[in-house]
Amino acid sequence: MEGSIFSTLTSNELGIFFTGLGVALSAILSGIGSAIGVGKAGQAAAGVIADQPERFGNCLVLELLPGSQGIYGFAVSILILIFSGLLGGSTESITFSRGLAYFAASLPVGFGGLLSAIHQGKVSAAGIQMLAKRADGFGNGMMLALMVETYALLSLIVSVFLVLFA
Amino acid sequence: MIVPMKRLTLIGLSCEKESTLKALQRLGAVQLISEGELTDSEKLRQLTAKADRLNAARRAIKPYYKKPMLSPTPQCTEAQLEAIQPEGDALCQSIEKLEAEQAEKRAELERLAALRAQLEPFREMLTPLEAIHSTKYIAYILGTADAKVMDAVDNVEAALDTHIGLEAYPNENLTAVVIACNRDERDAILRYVKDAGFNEFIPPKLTGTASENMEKAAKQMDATEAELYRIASELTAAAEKRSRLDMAADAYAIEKQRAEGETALKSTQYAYILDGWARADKLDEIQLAVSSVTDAYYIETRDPYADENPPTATKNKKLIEPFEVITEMYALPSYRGIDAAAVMAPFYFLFFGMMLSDFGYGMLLFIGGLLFTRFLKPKGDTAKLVKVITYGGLSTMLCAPFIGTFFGVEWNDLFNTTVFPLLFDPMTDVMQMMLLSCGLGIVHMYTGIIVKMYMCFRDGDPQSAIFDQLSWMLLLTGLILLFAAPAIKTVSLVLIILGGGMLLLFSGRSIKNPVMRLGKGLSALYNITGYLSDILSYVRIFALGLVSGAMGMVFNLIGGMVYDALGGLGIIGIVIGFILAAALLIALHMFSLFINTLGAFAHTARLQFIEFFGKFYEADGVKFKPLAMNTDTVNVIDSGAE
Repeated sequence: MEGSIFSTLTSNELGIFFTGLGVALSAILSGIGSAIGVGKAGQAAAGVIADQPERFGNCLVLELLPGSQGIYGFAVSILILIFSGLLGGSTESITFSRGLAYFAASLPVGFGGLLSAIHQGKVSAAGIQMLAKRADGFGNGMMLALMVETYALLSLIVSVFLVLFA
Repeated sequence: MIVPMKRLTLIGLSCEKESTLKALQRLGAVQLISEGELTDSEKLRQLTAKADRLNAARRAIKPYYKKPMLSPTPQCTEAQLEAIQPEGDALCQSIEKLEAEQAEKRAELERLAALRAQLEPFREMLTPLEAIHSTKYIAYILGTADAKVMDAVDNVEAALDTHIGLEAYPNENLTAVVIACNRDERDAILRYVKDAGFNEFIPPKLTGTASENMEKAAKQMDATEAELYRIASELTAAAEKRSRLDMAADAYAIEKQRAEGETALKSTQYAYILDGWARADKLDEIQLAVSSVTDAYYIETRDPYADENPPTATKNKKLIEPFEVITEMYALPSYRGIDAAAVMAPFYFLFFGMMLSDFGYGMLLFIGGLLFTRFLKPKGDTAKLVKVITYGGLSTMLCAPFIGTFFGVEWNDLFNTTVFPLLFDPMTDVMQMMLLSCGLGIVHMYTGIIVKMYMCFRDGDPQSAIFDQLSWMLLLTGLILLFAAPAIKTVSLVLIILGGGMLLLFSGRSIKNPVMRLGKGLSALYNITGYLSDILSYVRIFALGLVSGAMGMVFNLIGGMVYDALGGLGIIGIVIGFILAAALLIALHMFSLFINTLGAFAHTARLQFIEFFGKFYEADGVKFKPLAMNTDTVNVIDSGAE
């Protein structure tokens, strides 16, 4: 990396940079996904509640389902912060390779969360519309949305493993 | 368990129809069957109309009271409910009257406001309105015009070659105009000015000048406003008594349900036949209910025929009963299937606790659930759901010392010990926690397979039980042992060969062609991927536990940071920091509690529905809908229905 800006940085500094990048990415990507997903479901919910205010509780639960990805990403961010020592510890032991490992750890929950939350939001929105037509459709709608969530959970687990064993 | 049903035929006297139905309704154990479409009856129409009126009145008073967020469900007896009907009717009538009066006054107010607006431009005109009336030769045209139109009005003499008398009262932007003209020319002049945009005003039959009338209208408006205010306060007073209206509405709803039931009967002038499904466990009570009304009756019951599809009702021990709401959320069990609530309940209890896994959150749910049930007296499915959450809270409290935390704080930090968590810390012993989750998942799935085996034996199909179910358990156990205990490799291999062999050779046991049969066996073996993904799915127990622990921890960290940041500023800083940190911690932990409870509830349900029910559950039940006292707002405490 002769001549690049990285050549002036030490291994420790690069490690800290990539660790920080990992912390940021897992929160950002999954957060974007959840925001889009909850947003879509929220719009559908508002439409249903306009006519049937008594469905508010059920709609709220369905709307919130795509919100969990953001929380998973957030949890991974915090895990990286704590385990790397960025939060309340010393940063001296973060080498370049460990930094890259933390960066890699953020990718599954980041991208898995981003895409699964968007699609879960679509399923939630459809479930909410179903609720408008069928009062007893709540359980079914919730289950359909949860099918998507599985893949966010699997991403979360892979990310957690990568953090813990980095 | 699923309640057995009997087909019931009851014959009685038409004159005692009403009282017999009432007794059955109180019991809530018979679902009436009608042949063909339900017919309408005069009584039903009247009751429907009455119920609609009461509901309209209930809607009408809605803006006049504020419903408290959490209010207990009122409890009352059947007699109280019936006794309140006349009062409810009276209240309903007075509300209807007030509503009609209100509509009338509002219309009056609008009319007066419009009149005032029309008279406004003429307020300078001193001629009384009654004086402006056309005579044999003279006609008057009144109206308003803006500046542009005024040019046309001024030009009218020249344009039409005539003479008019013109009086104008200029206002800010509109000018009020009175034109006196030759009667014959009135229409022509009017057409001319109207083409230019003139607004004709035909004064209503009023006496006095415009400004006098405007003042009068203003006074009338004030009076009407006062009236409207009085009506609103009377409606508010009526809204105070809304509980009576609610109760009366429920009383009519009950009566209506009975009338609906009546239309299902076949009756002649003197006798009727009632046909329905009756709960077999309540036959004695049904007989007792009927005999308490009359001794002139005939009851016959029989078991359902094989081609009949009776409705499904479930009955469980009090402890298990709330979990019915979870199975119903999926689908009702088929009448000849298995009610999964009892087998599912222990797993639901355990998984919920492991997923939430924080003692503090569990405690809040448990205490909150108990208080909710105690003071708000929910009914029906809501009551069951609250109880499931309460159990979940208890389970969380039990699981937390083993694998969890206390409001995000580690037990050891709390008690200054090193023994906690009693089992292991999921954050550091990740592999153990994953294995525990999957292990419990395997127990869960095996339970499902065993239930299916039981069903096969019960239905006289032992071959399916052994070749399609037991074989899987052998194969899976063998595979697990192969990895978990390499020392007994031979045992594992025997199990794998036995299980796999059975699947390969006997899955297609109804097929004669040996090649086709083997093909069927191979495709059955391919299902192993399904079982593996099912087992992996239980990792979510670990994942959700991890998330709730991590969230609690982070929130404590944030609270601590706020406290630390302000704590350096002397005693005032400590006080403010403490208050701020406490408020922040409460808000954040409530959020975390909400999110994580939702997650635990939903994902536990999913494990039951997909991984567990998929193994055995037959879900095409039709809900048992007995003739009962189904109410909207009150609990009828002395009805027999569950």
